[in-house]
Amino acid sequence: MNRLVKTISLIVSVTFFLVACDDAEKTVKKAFLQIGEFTITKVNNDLTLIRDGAGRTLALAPREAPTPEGYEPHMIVRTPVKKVVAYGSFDVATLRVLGVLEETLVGVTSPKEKWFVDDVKNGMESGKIVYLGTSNAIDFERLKQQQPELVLTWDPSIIPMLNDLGIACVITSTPVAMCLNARMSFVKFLAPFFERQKEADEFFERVRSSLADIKERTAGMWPKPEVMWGDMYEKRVLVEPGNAWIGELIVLTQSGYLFEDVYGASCIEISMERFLYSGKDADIYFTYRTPQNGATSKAALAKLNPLMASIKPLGSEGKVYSPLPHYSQSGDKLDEIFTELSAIMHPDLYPGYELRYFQSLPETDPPKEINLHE
Amino acid sequence: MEPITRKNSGKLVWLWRSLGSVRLAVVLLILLVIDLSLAYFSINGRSIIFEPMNQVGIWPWLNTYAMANLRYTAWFFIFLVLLSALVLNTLVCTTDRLWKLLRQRKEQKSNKRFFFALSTHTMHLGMVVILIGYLISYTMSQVYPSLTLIPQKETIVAGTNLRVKLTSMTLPIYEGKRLETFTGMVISPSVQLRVATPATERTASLGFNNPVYFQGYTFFLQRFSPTKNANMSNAHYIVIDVRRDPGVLFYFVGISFFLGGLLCYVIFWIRSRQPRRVPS
Amino acid sequence: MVPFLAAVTSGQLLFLAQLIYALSLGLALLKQNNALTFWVMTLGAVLNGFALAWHYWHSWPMMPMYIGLPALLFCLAVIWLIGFHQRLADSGRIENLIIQGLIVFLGLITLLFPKDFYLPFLRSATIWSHIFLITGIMAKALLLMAAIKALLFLIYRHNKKITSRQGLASAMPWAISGFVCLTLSMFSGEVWSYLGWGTPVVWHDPAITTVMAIWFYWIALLHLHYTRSWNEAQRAIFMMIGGLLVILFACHPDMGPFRLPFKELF
Repeated sequence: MNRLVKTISLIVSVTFFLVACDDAEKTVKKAFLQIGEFTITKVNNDLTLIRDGAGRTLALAPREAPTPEGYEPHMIVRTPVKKVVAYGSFDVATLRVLGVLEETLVGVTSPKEKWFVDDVKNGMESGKIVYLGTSNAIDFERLKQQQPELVLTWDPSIIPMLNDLGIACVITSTPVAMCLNARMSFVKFLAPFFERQKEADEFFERVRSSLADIKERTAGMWPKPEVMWGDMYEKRVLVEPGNAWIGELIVLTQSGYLFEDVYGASCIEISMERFLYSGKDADIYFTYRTPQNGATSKAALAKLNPLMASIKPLGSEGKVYSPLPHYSQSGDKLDEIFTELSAIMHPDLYPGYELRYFQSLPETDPPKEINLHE
Repeated sequence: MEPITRKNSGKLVWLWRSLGSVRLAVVLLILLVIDLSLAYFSINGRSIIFEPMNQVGIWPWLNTYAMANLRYTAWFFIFLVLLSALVLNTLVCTTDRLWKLLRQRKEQKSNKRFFFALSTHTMHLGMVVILIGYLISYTMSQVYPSLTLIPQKETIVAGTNLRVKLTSMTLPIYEGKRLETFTGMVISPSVQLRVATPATERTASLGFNNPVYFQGYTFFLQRFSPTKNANMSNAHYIVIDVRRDPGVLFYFVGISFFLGGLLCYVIFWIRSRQPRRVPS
Repeated sequence: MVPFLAAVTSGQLLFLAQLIYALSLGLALLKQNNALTFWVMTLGAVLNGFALAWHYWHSWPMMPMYIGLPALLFCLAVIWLIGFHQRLADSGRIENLIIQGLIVFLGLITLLFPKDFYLPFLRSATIWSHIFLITGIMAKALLLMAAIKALLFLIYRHNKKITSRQGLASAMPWAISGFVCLTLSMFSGEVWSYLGWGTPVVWHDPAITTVMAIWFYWIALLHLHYTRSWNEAQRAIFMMIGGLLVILFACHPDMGPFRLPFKELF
């Protein structure tokens, strides 16, 4: 009897503990949001603290609110931000999701001819958006003229200069690869800067429902195609680890990700031996290279790195996909990208689907036309 | 040893003895093992939940990251409780026994026995000091993370009167063939850092595992750029963490105590195992 | 020899070493010539040692990643070789077989679940990282030996003429030296953690908690031993569970995905 009472009390206590945990989690999540390595802490209506990808803390305060105490001027961002400079194409795409690209973006680090986003091209044509130079040679005079209140970048080397100019800077890349949830929720991280939480939530819901659809469609699919994502550069091998959003998405589409066990940064370097070994099992291979970087055919890839010729997807049994140039600028269409990846894994489930962000590489390059007049 | 009961001792004495009992220590240690085993599976692949603890300190971390991810951090709350109990147990046990040992010192004929017992208590105290050091580190440290420095530009560490300047960077490229994947990369960066307050200044070499100490602050190299030959045209910069950690001294003193105790223990243990000489 | 070593990879050397360890176990089981068993085992240990040296050669001054399992095999093989003749004189054939069996078991895990594809990292170029790695591996081998001794005690405890080699007291030197090595490993890891990251604990690697768990477990055992609060059989069982814990925590963090050796060659 005594033992029974003890057992029941133990079960009740554990249940109570788990319920209490769940409730506590929900309460804390209202004021504190973790998105991968980024965080947002709402202190009160006049102050929100954010932690960027480098672990720096910035204070967000509405324009009419008093100046937060204990923060250097360049660590304070007045919201909504009116002028922003963005380095990464994913940051630009996120501004688009929030509906602030046209009105706030004033500077980028890629020239006009490299942009596929109409809003950016138009902005550059009208002179509202300025090309500030490549990321390793920024023209700080031009940047100063644009008077941005915020710079979104992956490059910490500009922080000392921006501090002098009194411009706040947010590092939007992280040491550990962004997981699927972080990739989808990144928009929620930038939303408080522009006071566009509603738009962020809508986008997140849209992507979430596309994922739910993929999950439903692919449920129980067998056999699972084996996938690898990465590349070989001379003696170096870079791959997407299993904790990256790509790895998680592939697993979610009822496919096997051959680097699922690898943990670390996006584009993590691993041994060549492992890459070649996994390549023996792969059915589908995604290269980092775009057609402009040499990924025009399987034969072209094999020629770039003869060792890679031994992996299964480069043979006649496998498939190789290369991202199209506008893929990296399409972060606002995550739902479409996810669906496309699912369609690549399971073409039978998506009859008539036409690829928009990736291209399947042919066995060999088409023969070059010879101009007889020359 | 006479059994301790409530009848023959006062309640306080009973509580004191129970708190310091070796049985309690064993129970706590086994519970810690179970908890840490669960911890391994909770941290695996989720280090981003735990890493910020080193920057924000333990209480803010518990209130935010830990509470928002309770299913993965619950073990840590249990760990804190168990560790606190173990510290209490160790302190009570050691105080009790050390007191007895010192009182009986004059009666003891053998020095060896005395020092042997003392060595175990030294280890116990060492462990307590280490854990106190950890607590101080995680509660009282001031951390200024991810400070970017570019050559010849002085930067002020926010919230302090410290000025830091990267005076030079040496980024030797590895040209050998032995470390195949590192050919053409920088593997032993060394930078010269000048740190100053209005009153004093110091120039020192900073590298990985080679921090710079100045006026109670320590400067740790976190990252540097460029990292390879091909990127030498990229911006030259380093990222450092600046910390003021009053717990460090404690845990290094604790480690020294523990190792000293362990060394004495091993010496006496080896000597006690040697066969005694039989007089011929 | 040098050109041969330059041409082979550590994986191939390890594969050969495992085959030879298994052959040595086979010889021991068939009660073949003891000298032959010894020399075959020696050859296995030499190849295993070369595989480790290969890893170190291609990583130094950095720490080679995930070599814990092959290094543990090497330590156990060396322990086996050092005590081989003594064990024979003391009719410790079962002990020899258990160690060999453990080497072959761990060797199989090493071969089928390799995780040596991560590249070394710059922060590991310090003496502290190497002390942390080497003493940690030695500690695991010594603690496993203590568990083996405890197992032998459980097997022989009902014998009327139990030898000193079969008594539980024979496990204690292994347990204590293992604990000393583990403590050195933990503290050198702590020093490295402070010098490299500025923090007492680095949370990047979850294996930190497994080392702490093993450390606390063996502290509990030492307390049980000195207070004599449990009887010998209970303590022996506790020690054996400690050995299983060491195996679990030595293997799991160092195991990669399943992989057939040499598949890439075909």
